[in-house]
Amino acid sequence: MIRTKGEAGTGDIVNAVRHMRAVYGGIRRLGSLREEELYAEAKNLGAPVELVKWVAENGKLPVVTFTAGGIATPADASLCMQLGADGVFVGSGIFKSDDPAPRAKAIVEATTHFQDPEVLARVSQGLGEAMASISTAGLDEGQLLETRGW
Amino acid sequence: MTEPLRVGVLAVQGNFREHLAMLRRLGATPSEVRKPHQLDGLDGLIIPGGESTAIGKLVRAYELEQAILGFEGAIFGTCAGMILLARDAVDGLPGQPLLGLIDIVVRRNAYGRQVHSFETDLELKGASEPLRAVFIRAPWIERAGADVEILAEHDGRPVLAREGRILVAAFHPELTDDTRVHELFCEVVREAASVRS
Repeated sequence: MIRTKGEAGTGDIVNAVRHMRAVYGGIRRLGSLREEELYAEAKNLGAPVELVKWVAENGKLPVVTFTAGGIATPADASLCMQLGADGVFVGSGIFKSDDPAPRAKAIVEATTHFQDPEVLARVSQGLGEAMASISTAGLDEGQLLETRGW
Repeated sequence: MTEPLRVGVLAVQGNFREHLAMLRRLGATPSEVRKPHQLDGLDGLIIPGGESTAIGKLVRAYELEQAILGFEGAIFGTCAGMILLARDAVDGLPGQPLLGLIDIVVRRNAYGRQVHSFETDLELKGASEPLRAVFIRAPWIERAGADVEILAEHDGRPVLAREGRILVAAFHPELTDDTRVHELFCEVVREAASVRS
């Protein structure tokens, strides 16, 4: 599987969206290339050409894509699913909220019924306070998780 | 020209996407089922693989349990879907949600943990070519009732079986390019439809 990173522990969905858009934008770009351009692109990406061709043809990765980092509400989960995720991971968004159990249940339901506004509206009610979020825009680069690794 | 079959795939958890793609390849009209009313007008339903306890709990939470029990079309369960359709599970968790629509007793994770997942060739009843089968943390059929027809076995354990309008597979036929098991299910769907009409 692949997990898009987001900014864990913030409850700020902005980075999760940005990372997903980067991933799916990159996939859509591959889909617009001609076959001979895919060879050059495979070289640029350092990826096997067969894999690059497969992704270009199918418009998705051959593995499940999860998104995480900053999901704190049922609406956040639905947004990520609408952007193309196959599933979501939620940690602090649940455990740092007022009442974790009903919020966990609501996020699960919102993930299943991500295209159903009536369900989303219903499950979003009466959940108590969401986790107190930290805006990633206000963090120094040294405090960000997204800049770690490669 | 007959109308395309309308087959729903339970889409609360698990690999429903691959089943939808397989049904499209066979010219059926697939749809995702997440709510009870989405079963209306369907000729058949597939319950995919995934995590049987999670699917079972979600089926209850979304009020799909009674809806599936009341559904009159053909049903095909693969892997976790087979467990859900079974009468009993020998090592089921307390409260393991089972629909009891086919007279089999299953064993969950029968082949072992994820590391013991495997692929093999099966002898498919009535077919000359072997069937490539992908077993992922698969269950097997421990016991089957007298009215259950065994269509394939692995190491002496039934892994593909049918009783009337219910078809079950311990493996994942949606993950290979071989369409024969889904074609078989489409036949079961047509038979069930003709029995009803």
